[in-house]
Amino acid sequence: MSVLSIGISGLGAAQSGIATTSHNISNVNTPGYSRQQTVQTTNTPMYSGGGYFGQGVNIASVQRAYNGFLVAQVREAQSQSSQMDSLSAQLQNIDNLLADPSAGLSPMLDNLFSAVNTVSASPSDPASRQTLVASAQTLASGFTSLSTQLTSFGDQANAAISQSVSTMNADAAQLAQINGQIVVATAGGQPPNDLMDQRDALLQDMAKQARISVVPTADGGTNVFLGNGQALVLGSQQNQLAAQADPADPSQLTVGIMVGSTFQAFAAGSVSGGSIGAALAFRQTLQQTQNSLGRVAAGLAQSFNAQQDVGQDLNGNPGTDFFAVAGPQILGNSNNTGSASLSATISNYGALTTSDYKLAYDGTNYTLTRLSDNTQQTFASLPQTVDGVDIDLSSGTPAAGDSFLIEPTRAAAQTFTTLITDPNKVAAAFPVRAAVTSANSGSGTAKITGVTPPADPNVSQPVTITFTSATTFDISGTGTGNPTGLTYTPGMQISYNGWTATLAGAPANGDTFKVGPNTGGSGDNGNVNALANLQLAKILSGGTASFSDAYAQLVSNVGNQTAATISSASAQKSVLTNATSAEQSVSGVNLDEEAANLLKYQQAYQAASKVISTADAMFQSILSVISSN
Amino acid sequence: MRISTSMIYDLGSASMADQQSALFKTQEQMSSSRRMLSPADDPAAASTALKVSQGLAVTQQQQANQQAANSTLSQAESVMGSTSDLLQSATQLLLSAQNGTMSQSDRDAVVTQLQGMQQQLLALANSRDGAGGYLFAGYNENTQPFVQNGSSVAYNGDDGVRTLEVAPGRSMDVSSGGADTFMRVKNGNGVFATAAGAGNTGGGVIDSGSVTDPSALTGHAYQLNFSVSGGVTTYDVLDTTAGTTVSSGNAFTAGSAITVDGQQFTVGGQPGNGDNFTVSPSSNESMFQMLADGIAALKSGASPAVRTSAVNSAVANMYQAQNQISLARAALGSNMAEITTLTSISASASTTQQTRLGDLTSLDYNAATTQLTEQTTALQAAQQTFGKISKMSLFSYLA
Repeated sequence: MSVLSIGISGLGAAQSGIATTSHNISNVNTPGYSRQQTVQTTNTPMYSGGGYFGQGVNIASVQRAYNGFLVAQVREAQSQSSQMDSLSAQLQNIDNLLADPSAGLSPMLDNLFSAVNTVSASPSDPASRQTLVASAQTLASGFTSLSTQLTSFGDQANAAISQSVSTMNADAAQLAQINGQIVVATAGGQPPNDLMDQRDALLQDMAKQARISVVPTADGGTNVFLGNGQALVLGSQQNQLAAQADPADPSQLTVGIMVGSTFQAFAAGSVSGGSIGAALAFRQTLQQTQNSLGRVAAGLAQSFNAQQDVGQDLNGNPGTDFFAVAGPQILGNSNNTGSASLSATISNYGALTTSDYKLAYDGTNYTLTRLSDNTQQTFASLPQTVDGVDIDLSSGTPAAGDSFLIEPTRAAAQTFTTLITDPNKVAAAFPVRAAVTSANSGSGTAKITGVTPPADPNVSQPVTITFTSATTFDISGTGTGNPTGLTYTPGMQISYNGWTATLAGAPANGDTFKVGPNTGGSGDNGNVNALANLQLAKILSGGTASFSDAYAQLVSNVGNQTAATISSASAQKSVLTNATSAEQSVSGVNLDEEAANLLKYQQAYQAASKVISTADAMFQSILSVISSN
Repeated sequence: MRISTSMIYDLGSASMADQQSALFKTQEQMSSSRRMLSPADDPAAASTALKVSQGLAVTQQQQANQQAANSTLSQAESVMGSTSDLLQSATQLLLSAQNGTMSQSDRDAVVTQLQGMQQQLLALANSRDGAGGYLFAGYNENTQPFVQNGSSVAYNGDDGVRTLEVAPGRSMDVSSGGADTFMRVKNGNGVFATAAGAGNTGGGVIDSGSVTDPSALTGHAYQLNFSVSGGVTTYDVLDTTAGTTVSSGNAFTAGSAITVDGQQFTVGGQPGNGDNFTVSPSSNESMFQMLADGIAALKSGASPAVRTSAVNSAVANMYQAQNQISLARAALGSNMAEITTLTSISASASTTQQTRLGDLTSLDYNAATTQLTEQTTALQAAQQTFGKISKMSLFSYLA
């Protein structure tokens, strides 16, 4: 009996080996599959007088080649790598939008000012004025189309969040189910290898959406936590992840977990990794870009309008606004209980930042947080001016716990429009001019060299400059205060009623110069020269950046962030590759190895068969002895 | 280290994908001839390139402004040149009319010529620029600046001076009102003007005089009153502004210089008793008026001596007018010379900026070609090794 049964046990073991090897070979390309091995042990030997005789082999278990630490490392690396991959893809959208040097905003700005200069060269020429109006419209559509595309990237980020949330929920549901099956299966004492591999694959997939923490339980199940320890899966229980409109800004989705029927948003910054982490991080760059673009738009519109408003158009009328932009946006939190409504206006374009602000009221004080760096300021009352923005309570009263989101320049680029369509309305001239009295005996000259915003109601009032000697003069006229005995130095500038005049030459005693309305001054290019000067004027960033500088800054910010993300994405990718290689070196199927195993088990099977045929031969020889008797 | 079969495929295909995307990027760079396909390729250079291209745009604007300025200036200069020629001819005609042998009909012929010149002068002063605006109207460039109003010419423009930024920080005056040039010319010799009394009966003729001592000038008006008594001619000098007598009973010698408070002039011929001459500070007069005064002097039936004095002062006026035009031309000329210099400076600035922009954004084709070859080789190597490795399987030996 013994040889035959030993042979049969060997045959069985070899068959199990071949089956397991075949399973390995079949699953060579199955994601998350860990190669399996049979665990063979010898049977309990039988004692006879001559010693212990072996009783063949038996299969103790089928186990998978698995290292939990390496698998966790791959999962972590996967979260990081997915985030960076997805973030760099999204940032490259903005980067490519700004990439084209001939179609970007920069040439449009240059064209606008080039057209301004053309008007300066021939201020009454309708063609040059038409060019200016047309290039202003081109710039306006440039701002709008850039901003529209940026907004669509924001929508894509929202869509990515929704997509990831539903993927997470589907994975979590499967995971909970598999957990239940594993717990049941494990109770039999043997590991359900393939189920466990499936669970690891699901966890890996979840890690692509967001960083999760995985905690195994004693019964063989796993718990999955997200954010600051909110449970997504507890054994075979699942909580739903959800994306809902942010109460502070309904245009953005925020991620949270449903506890019963209550939506509990994750704390800011607590969810990271994966495509959800990427979408959240992308929003910051996107909003900063929108704000920077808006700041250029708002600053340009304001300074252009201010200068245009103090000028005089070809019809002899005071200039009117050239561009229109929306002012700061204020979003009241949808959970607010008070009746307060806020207003915000920009009072100092040089002090503007590219950040958004959160104003919170605690019942006694207002706390304003600049969201870019979380700097806080506390006020007992409104109005307040912060970073060039005047914030005031326009009606109602806030309740404790109310908060408002203030976006000073977010909407400016989107709403940038040209108001002037009639070329005659370009205010190329100053509303005031200086004239030399024809009887003057001296060679003195007077010229209006500037009219500065804001418009002075007396700007065109007649003013007389009378020289009382070659070196002294009096001023008389509405709004001047009629000063007398002023000292004259050639080339000096005097400013009254919003205008600045340069006095030069050698005036004689009794000479007069008359400042008055610029009637019919179609050839005056004074104001359009002032508009042209805005091109290089350092107006933004506390007087350190021109419009073009600010735009270049925006481009370099986006470029730098994209470049940094691309390089960390490639670094994360190689971390992931290394972690995967390490994990695969333990768990992966190698076909050569399996081929060798196949041979090994085949030969063992043949050998065991031989044992059986030997046992048969032995039995036959006994039988023949018996039959020959 | 153990290698799993799927890793061989995954890593192999990933590395080929990387090589391909690098190769594709080089190809894109070469086909667009741009070194930076997006700002992320070189953020610092991208932002510098924006600034440089703005600088280039500004330079190009200034070049356009220089051309516009030069065109306006040269139009004005050309008109001024014609005006100068015209004034010179008018002066010569006036001088020729001084010839004692001329009859009134000869003078009438001169007057006809001068009247033609009057019209020409008006036409020149009302010249238009290429765009149809009046060159010498100041800011009122759509209003005809000089209008014949009866016997005089009125100026309807203003004193507006148009400036253009022709270089960084350099605003150049490119057009000016015509009042300064055509309407405000100092009459006489530029400091004082002489005239013979309208009712003079004698043969005294006064010239336009000159300044001998600028520090002695008072700016007052004077009158010389002549009296002839017993064949002796004397004159008194009165300061009509102050109402005082400067000197009286001075002995008169025809043709010798008389000096009053730094002003020297000559009375030639023989003044009659009670004749007077005035010396008054120069005042502003229009060129048109000056020419009209000369014509009026030639046409007048006054005594030859009074006429000669009047023509003398008209000639002096013409010289002043020519001076005025010369000064204006000099100013235009120096601006045009400056533009010539600025044009070459801007051209070299533009070249520098273009070179800089090229350095920042353009592709180095030699380097890119080398890179393309390297990347092609690397991709081929990856493909070949992958092909070799993937063929190696123990199963191929198991028959």
